[in-house]
Parts: sequence; structure tokens; C-alpha cells
Amino acid sequence: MSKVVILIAAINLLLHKPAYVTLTGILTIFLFTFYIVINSFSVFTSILAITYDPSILWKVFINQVEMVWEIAGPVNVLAVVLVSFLAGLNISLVILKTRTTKVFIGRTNVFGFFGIFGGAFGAACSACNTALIGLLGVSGGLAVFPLRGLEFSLLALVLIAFSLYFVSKSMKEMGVTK
Amino acid sequence: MPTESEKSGNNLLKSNALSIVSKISKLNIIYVLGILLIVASFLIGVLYTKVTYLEKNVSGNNSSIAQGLDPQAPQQPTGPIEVSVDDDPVMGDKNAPITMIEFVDYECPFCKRFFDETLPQIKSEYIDTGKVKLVIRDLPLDFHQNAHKESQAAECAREQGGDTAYFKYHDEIFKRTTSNGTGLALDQLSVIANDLGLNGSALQSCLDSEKYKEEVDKDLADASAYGANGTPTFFIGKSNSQGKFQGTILVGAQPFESFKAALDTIQ
Repeated sequence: MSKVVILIAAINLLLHKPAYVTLTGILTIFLFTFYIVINSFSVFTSILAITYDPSILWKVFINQVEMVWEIAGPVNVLAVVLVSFLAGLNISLVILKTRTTKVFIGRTNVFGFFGIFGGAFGAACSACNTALIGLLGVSGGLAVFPLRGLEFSLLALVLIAFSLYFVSKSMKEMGVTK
Repeated sequence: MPTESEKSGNNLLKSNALSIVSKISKLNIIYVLGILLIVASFLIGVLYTKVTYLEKNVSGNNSSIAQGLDPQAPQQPTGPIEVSVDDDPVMGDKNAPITMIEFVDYECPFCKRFFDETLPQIKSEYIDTGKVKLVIRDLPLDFHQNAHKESQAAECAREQGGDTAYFKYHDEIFKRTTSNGTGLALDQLSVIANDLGLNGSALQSCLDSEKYKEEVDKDLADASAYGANGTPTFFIGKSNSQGKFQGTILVGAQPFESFKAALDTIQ
């Protein structure tokens, strides 16, 4: 229970700083976009070779999200949204802590780092492809996984949760939060 | 000049910082082990999935597995490349000034989505008006168990009734399959033929003889040579009387606006 209290205290501090709330929002949107684009990289590179029209690129992006929602399931999209938000929150807390204490301790952020990059594979691909073959050793990418990539999101969530706790704990120990 | 209280505050902060550095250096071993256990379980799960997948494909003797796993396969092209329509089925006017090749996998949910959402608009605005012809080539991916047979079945339907029968069969597969490898049972392939007024038993014999296996494999090899490593993949360019043209790649079930941009650029 005390762990939750430590975490809430850190989040509460962040919520009272509008700049950090804005930063969290921007990071969440950025990471969500990044996760969707990285999983449909060939889709975006092929359309970018044809047009830079922002309205078309926006429609392609929305189309990709709709397809992941429809084909991999809403849970996958919601998991990516959650990973994006928690990763954004995590980065904001690390910045807040570092700016307040002037101390950057890399080791406490390792889990967050892996969580943020782990989350990149959580969004199911929006084309049937062999692109992840080099990384995962199987063609078909996330389609061959029983939960269609949700496994990566869950792992990312666990790692980010640990990172959030460690950052909050160090904020408390360094006197940033009560 | 810092005041005494600021100095004492800074000293307190520094002492706290040193204390946390010391505490973190002795990070609770249980947490670390717990996280390592989670990560290790996950990696073992990935490995298990990979082994199960490979075993399934090897026992299934899927001819396209080598294509799917070829680490030397060309990368996606960054500009137009020469592609061929081969002798594959054509939708629309054969003399249309623009050719669009679709590399299709009948079990790919994104190909189904393209068929449901985008193709009708492209058909009404570009194909039915004689501006564009669509050529279907096969790219049944190795992880979609029934896709290769479905591609062969469509070729068998074409044998009975030409391109018209092919496209009726093509449409019916997409209407009936739920995708992802086994969305359509193989025993339904002759049933579809009967339902479309074709000869179901002749189609089954054609399928059993694997008469068109080589044709589908040729499409697979061409797709690989063109750098198409997923479905649906499209090549769009100015038609050529030799059946070969400089095609610009477009990957995925993109919205109509993407195709419109690609087609209008060529016109």
C-alpha cells in the first residue's frame, strides 16, 4: 500500500505543475504516434514516396489505428494508449526529479527505457508481413503470437510500472515528495 | 551569494542524493530478480512460439516457407522498379493506360479490408471508367496455412471461366473467409465453385493435381524479387504493351485517398 502512496505523491506533485502535465500529454501523443508508425513503417514510407499531403498522411494514420482496432482488437489499441501514457508520465517524472535534485541516476530509469521500447512492439502490424523476421526470428510478425502483440504491451506495462515506482521512491528519498 | 538557509538546504539535498545513490546501489534484489524472471519468462514464451510455429510449418511442408524466411530477400524499393503483370487475371479494360498490380494473400485480414473498403471506390472511379486495370498476383504468406491452396483454387476457377470467373471466385473467397490462415476451410473451395455455377468437382480435381502450384510459386518469387514482403502490396505505373512497367510501390490496405494520389500522379 505504501508503494501506491509513494507513487500517488509523485503523480500528485506532477499534477500541480502545468508545464509537466502538458509535457506528459505531448509525450503521450508522440509515443502513441511513434508506436503506430513504427509498426506500419513500410506503409508510411511507401505513401511518403508518393505524397507529403498532410491530410492524406493523417487519413493513413487514422486508417492504421482503425485497422489495428478492427483486426487485432480494441484491447491492443487501448494497451498501446496506456503504455504511451505511462511512458510519458515516466519520462516527465524523471525530468521533474532530475531538474529538482540535479541528480540523474541512470540505473533507476533502465526499466522505463526497456518498457518504452518494449511498448513499440505492442501495436499489431497493419499489414501482413515478414518485416519482424530479423528481430523475432519468425515471419508473420505479431500475427504469430497468441495475443497478437498484446504480450509486448503487457511486458512494457510491467517494466514501466517498476520504473514509475523506482522514480517515485527516489523522489521521496531525495525529499522531492513527502 | 547563497544564504545560510540555502546552503543548509543544498547540503541536505546533497546528503539525500548521496544516500539514494548508496541505497540504489543495493537495489532490492527481490525486485531485480522478479523483473528478470518476468523478462526471462517472456523471452522463453517468444522462443516457444517461434519453435511451435517453425515445427508447424515444417510438418505442413509449406512450399513458401523458404521465401518467407529468406534473410537475403530484397528490401522494399524506394523508387519505381520494373514489374511484370505476367499472365495473371485482369480486372477492367486490358488497354487501360494505368496498371495496378495487387499482390494478394486470401487469408490476410488487411487484403480483406482492402477488398471491402477501398476496392469498390477504386473500381467505380478508375477501373469501370477505363482509366486503370487491376492485375491480381499471388503472395500467399507462409504463416497463412490455407492461402496457397486458395490462390490455386482461384486459378482453377479461371481455367473454367476466364478472368470473369476468377474475379467472381476472388470476391467470394474474401466475402466468406474470416482470414488469418484458416478463415476458410479447404473443403469449401469446391462448394464456392458450385455456388458460382462452376464445376465444383472439376475445380477439386484441378486443386488436387496442384496444376497451378508452380504459377502461384512464380508469383511468390516475383514478389520477393520486387521487394514486396507483405500483403497487400501494390505496384502502380503506366501500362506497357510488353506487360512490364515501372511500378511505384504502395504497401498495405491504405485509404482510397492514397490510391487516388498515386493514380492521379501518373495520369
